Amino acid sequence: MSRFAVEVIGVAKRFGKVAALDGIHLTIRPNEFVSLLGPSGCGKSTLLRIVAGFEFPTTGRVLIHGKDTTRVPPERRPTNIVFQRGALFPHMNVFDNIAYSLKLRKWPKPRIAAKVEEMLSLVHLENLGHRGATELSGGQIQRAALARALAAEPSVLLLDEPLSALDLKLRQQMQIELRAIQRKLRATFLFVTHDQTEALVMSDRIAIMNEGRIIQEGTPQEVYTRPVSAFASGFIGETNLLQGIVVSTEDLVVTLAVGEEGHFRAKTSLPLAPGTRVTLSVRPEAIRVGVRESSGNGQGMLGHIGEVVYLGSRIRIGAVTRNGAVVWADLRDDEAEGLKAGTPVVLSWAPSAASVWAESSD
Amino acid sequence: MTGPRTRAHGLLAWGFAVAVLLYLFVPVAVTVLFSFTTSPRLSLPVTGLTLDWYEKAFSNPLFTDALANSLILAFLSAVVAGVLGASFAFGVARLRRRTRNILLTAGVLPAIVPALVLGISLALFFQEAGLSQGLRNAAIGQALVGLPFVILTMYARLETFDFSTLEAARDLGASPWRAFRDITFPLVRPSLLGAALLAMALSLDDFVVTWFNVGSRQTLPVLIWGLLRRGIDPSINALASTVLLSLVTLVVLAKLLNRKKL
Repeated sequence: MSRFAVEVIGVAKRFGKVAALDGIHLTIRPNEFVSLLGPSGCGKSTLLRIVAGFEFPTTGRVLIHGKDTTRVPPERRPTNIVFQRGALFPHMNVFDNIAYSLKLRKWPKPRIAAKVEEMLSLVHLENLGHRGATELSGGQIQRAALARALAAEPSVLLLDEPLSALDLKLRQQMQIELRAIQRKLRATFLFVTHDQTEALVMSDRIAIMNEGRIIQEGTPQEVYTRPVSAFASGFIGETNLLQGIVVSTEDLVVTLAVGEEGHFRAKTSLPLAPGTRVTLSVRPEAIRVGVRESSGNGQGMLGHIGEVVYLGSRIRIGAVTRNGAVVWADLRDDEAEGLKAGTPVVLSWAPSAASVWAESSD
Repeated sequence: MTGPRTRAHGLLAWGFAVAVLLYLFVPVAVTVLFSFTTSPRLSLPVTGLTLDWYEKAFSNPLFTDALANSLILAFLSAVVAGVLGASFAFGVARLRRRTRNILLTAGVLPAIVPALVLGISLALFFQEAGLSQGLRNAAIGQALVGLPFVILTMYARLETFDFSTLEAARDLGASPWRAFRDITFPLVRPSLLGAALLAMALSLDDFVVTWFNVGSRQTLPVLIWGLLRRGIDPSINALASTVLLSLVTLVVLAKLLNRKKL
């Protein structure tokens, strides 16, 4: 028995001449909720389909609980999948949909009935077993599809953007429920999504994908606070990107010059030699905005307020720097008091709130 | 329209519509009507009604033989066109758009080849191949006539078919065959039956392709044509009405089955 529920080892997938996946390594521990997050066409669904057995990789291997399943067809894998639009069998009612895998396993009828009832109550569809699959609402379809997949008692549950067809409110509610079900069953979930909020809310670990590769892997906090590239920082949450040149590195703190704006410091674990061109990323909520009294004293970036946008829970300030770039900052009501378009300001942030990486790394 | 619609306008429009419909239906209606009248000639007014012509037709061994042949051919072409057309549509539905459109067009094209050309081509082909004329050749020809319609009907159904349900079935433990039996077949069955009935109707109705290939055997349309050459006998009206009734039934059934969509 392996320590891992899923091991994806050096998987590549080509469709004709197009490389959909390239050099994918991913391991998932038992009871872990892992999300594959990326824009459409990044290969996340292809990776999920390879784990499910609908596609075979061009090279590389897939192990499930230590067993090589690279070329095993889907019906002989201990995985089950929830599709984007449910894919319920339209000529069956909810009960028969959920019971399908159990009938194939020739369970006795009373045992099937008990299991289906258990699943129906798990997904809060009690009393809807007799309902036809085509008579369900969008949310009910996904609940039934989840119950159908879980009834088969998969050792890994795969979810292919199962919430993306639902409206925002229902989606948020289902995110919480899905997470609760995963905890309750102590199950292993591999979840595909293009919605960063969804990934942040539900996952133990997130793998950010772009152009067929995993570009960063970590806990939601890690990928949010320490993005490894401009793409990662832009894809998870919002951020300000600034170009600069390294002046010096000392005790994991790099000092860099950003245009004529002065010197800034950022925490980094990368060995950055002086002179390296780098990109600096600072989240809007990490930026402090102070009203500038004089022409400044070298502490922070100088500019003036271009826009003030009211977002309800916070106020977003768009500050125009001297070279014309716009830096966005999110402030609380009280912090934004007295700031209006035209106010000269000085922008600053803590070195630990900024990420920095060499410009070519993306 | 600029002015208000007058009563005269309305009457004119109605009159026109009725005239067109009469043109469409009177010949058929006359045939059906005179299959039930006592007079041996097509004449009005109708003097009395009878089922004698049907009795005469059904007791004629020529007719029963032709009917049997027609039913065999209809069944064969429904099965052949149904299986081939459905398989073709399934294969095509999974292809990329461009390839799919080309193959689909090619599969449907024979529907616009004139029956005369089709009949003669097949006859020549069978002769070259050393296959003597008979029911077998007629069956092959009729299935060919029905095939494009089956392909179209089945493809229309598969366009709205959710193929991820098949993946779901496999994922839940079904073998490819089991997934076909439990999911695909039940879902396409109404359309497949409808398409097969359509092929059946086209077979029953076909004269030209059959006539060139069936040799000395008789089918209903071939028999009717032969009898007509010897003069109008009201029992021909009975024959034609029988064919008409079966065709209408088949087409209505086919329509009903295809309307049931999931």
